Amino acid sequence: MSGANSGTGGRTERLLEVRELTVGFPTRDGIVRGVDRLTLNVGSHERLGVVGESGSGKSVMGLAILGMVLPPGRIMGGSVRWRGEDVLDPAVAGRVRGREIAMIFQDPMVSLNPLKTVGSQLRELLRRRVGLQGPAIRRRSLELLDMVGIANPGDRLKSYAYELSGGMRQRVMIATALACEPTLVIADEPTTGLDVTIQDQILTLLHDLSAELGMSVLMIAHDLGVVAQFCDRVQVMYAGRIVERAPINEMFADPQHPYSLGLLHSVPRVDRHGGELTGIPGEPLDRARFPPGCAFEPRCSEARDLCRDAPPPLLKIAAMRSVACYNRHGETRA
Amino acid sequence: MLRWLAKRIIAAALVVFVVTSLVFVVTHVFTDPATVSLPLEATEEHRAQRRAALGIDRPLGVQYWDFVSGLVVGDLGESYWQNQPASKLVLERLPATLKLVAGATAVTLLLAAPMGMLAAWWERRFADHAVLGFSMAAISAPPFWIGYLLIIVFAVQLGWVPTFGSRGFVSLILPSFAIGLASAGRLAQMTRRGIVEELRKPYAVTALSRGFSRSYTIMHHTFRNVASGFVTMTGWEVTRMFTGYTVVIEFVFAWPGVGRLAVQAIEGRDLILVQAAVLVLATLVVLTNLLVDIARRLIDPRVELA
Amino acid sequence: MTTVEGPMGPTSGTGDGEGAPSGSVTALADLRSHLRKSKAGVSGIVICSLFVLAAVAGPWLPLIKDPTEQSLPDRLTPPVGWGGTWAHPLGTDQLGRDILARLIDGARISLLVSVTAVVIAAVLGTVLGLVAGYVGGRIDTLIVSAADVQMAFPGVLAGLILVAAFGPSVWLVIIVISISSWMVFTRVGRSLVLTLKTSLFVEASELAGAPSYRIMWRHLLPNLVSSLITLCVLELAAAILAESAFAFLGFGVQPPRSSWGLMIQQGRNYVTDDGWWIVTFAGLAISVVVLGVNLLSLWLQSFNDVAEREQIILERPGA
Repeated sequence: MSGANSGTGGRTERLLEVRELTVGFPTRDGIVRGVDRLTLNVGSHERLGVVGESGSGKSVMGLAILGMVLPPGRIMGGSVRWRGEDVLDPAVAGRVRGREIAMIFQDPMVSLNPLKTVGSQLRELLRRRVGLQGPAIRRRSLELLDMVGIANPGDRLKSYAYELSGGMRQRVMIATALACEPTLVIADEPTTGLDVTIQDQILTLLHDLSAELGMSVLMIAHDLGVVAQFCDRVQVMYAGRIVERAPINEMFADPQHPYSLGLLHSVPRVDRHGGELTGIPGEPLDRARFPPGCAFEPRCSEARDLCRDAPPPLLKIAAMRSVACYNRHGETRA
Repeated sequence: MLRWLAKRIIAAALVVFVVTSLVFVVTHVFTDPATVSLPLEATEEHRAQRRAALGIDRPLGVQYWDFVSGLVVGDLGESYWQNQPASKLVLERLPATLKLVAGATAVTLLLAAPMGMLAAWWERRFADHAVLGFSMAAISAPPFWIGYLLIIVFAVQLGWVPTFGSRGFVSLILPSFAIGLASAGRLAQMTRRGIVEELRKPYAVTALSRGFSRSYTIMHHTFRNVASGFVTMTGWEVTRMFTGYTVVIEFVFAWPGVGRLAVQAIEGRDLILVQAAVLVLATLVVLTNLLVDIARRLIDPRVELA
Repeated sequence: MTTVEGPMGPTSGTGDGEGAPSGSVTALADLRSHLRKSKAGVSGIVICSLFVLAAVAGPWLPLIKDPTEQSLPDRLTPPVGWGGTWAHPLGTDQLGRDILARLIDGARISLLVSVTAVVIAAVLGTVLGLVAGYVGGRIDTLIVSAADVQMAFPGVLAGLILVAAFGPSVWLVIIVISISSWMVFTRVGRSLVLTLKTSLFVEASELAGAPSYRIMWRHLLPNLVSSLITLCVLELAAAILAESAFAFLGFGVQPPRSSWGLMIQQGRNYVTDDGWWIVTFAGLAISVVVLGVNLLSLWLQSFNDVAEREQIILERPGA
């Protein structure tokens, strides 16, 4: 995809600023940090991708940006600002959630209320969060379903989630997200569990809608493939931390962190048909047994003694590029 | 729905049949009403006389047939102690028991639903711990003791309500609370757990992420999903009331209900009357279960009950 | 900089080495370290220990009077703080017997009846649950329907009929409590067996030709133990309450032997006059012991929950 909107020109306004956000979960062995000192920005009209494998803290991050953490977890530090306002303040959060930032979840089967019809879920949003009244609600509901490409929207209003197909449910989910005309959409693996063809349709739909409505998107995904089609910039997450950030084309052309490299090799590519699919060696991480140093060290082929002592900081290595790896900090980019 | 209902009713009737048969085995095979009614030192002649009078000298099969065919027309035998039809005695006492169970259920629901919601709303905060504390205390104290404590405090010390007996609505208050507190404790915890679990489910997280408040999400999203479990548990508490609490609490408050009748009948060595009271209470339990199943089915159309 | 920080530092706890999750030594250590953090668990264990101590060692405890010794001049002496003396710290009853001594004496019957009843129910119910779940077929249907009927015909009603037919006795109370509790063990045992039945180790022993009873005894039962113990504690609380209720109605222990429920029945006529302490302290004894058992069961449940919750957090995809 083009990086047309990723320019640093004065036209982009900073919307979301996350600083040093940390989310902890108490376990029998102490507190596990699901998200560890996360820092990221999303500007207007921007599409940012966050990539990491299961257990890397991406979903926790998505909710934490809205100030939400499932108990017993809690936000232990850091800040989230939306147009300068503190989202972790419940009063601000109540205003921002849904209306400014809307989230799309990975499993629409269970993310839609099983006991409410599509229509009543839309109606409740439009009435209570947008303030529409009377016939305007129905008109807008039909319009929203039409926008997300649902045929016969009038019939679908009466359906329950379990009566719809997977792709259809995700479209309804997107419609509920769009109901309040948000400025930023956080999409948490919106295509997981869908057929490949449907995945493509949903991604295209999201892409077109974001362009049409001028929305920013924060796309959370577990493989770079999804992000490649969609985003301008990408951040790679491992064990709750950002390990690398780069514009999307540079990430593909020249990944720096060994983990990014591994992720890239596990993307199936059409142009290299028949080529082998290299996974990342080693077990996916066990969060309760972290090494004191770099979290990736046990799986890293380039690990040195230094890596075992303290986690490497995320340092800028070039314009718009940062990486958290001792082996890359000294070098300049090739 | 109709077919399901028919099947469910037949199943309930079967349970009643099995229970009555088991009761018959105890009351007519292992012992018999004549033996129970007589003191140990009664003469053999006296026993034979009593057996003949009660029809127990006939073969068991005939007695069983009489028993079952009697049940079908509502004949539960003759009370030896009162010299009246047992069914009449039990039915006279039934309204008092139903009133008590209704009062206790009202107390249970009025306490449990708000407490459960508050505890879930303020999960892991003071209100949650306070509700847990109340629940633990309420389910640990024997209901008859709660009854006496209520009498000591509200009737004897404060003199707000009459101590014993059933004189109108006011006298219903203490026994209702004596029964309802424990049920409310259990039900409040169940409601809290149900809501908290629902709030962690993706659909509730979605609702919260759309900016609906925690209270709105609890009231409009989770509570309906918890409702079917809530109804089941309420029904379970009502059956506990019919079978355990009323017997004991009617004894404490000298409440003229079926449970008190059963205890009096045991003291009066009237096996027929005890049997009648127990069968009526068991039937009420089965009916309650039936109503609960129907209610669940209406709340949540996905519920498929065998 | 460690990512795991705990009160005991990152090296202690359970997750060291290759982690044998179900080794009994680790489980016990787990249980102990979890107990240290739980006030409810500690209070539960303390109360239950005192209860057992009173029940077992009651007659040999120092300074405790003879619970059957009557003294009519001392009848209805109030407790210390309400005009009584330390001769009878909790006062005396209508026959001048020492209430504290009678409470300690009552612990014995309460423990005896409730534990015996729960053990009978647990053994009977678990065996039926194992058989129903493992053998399946007609036997399963039969056992499940029996449990369903038992659910619809609660033990108290059976108790009334049995007392009416055979007269009151302690053994009858034990039987009645057992028959109102066995199906709980059957249901839980059966559902656990159904999930275990398809697991690899059971299928492996089946292929190796192990007889059914051996599979049930050696492979299935050990996996049920922790759930069944939690259930036993829960049922114990219900059993103590049931025993007290039967005694209160006069259907259990007969005078001159005593129990807490019977004390309440005998003291109830003095509730409205000057004798509130008989009923109050006897009921308090029941409540505190049941509360202790409930706290213990709450803690056991929370222990299982924490283990479960931890797994959920760590295994949730994308977490």
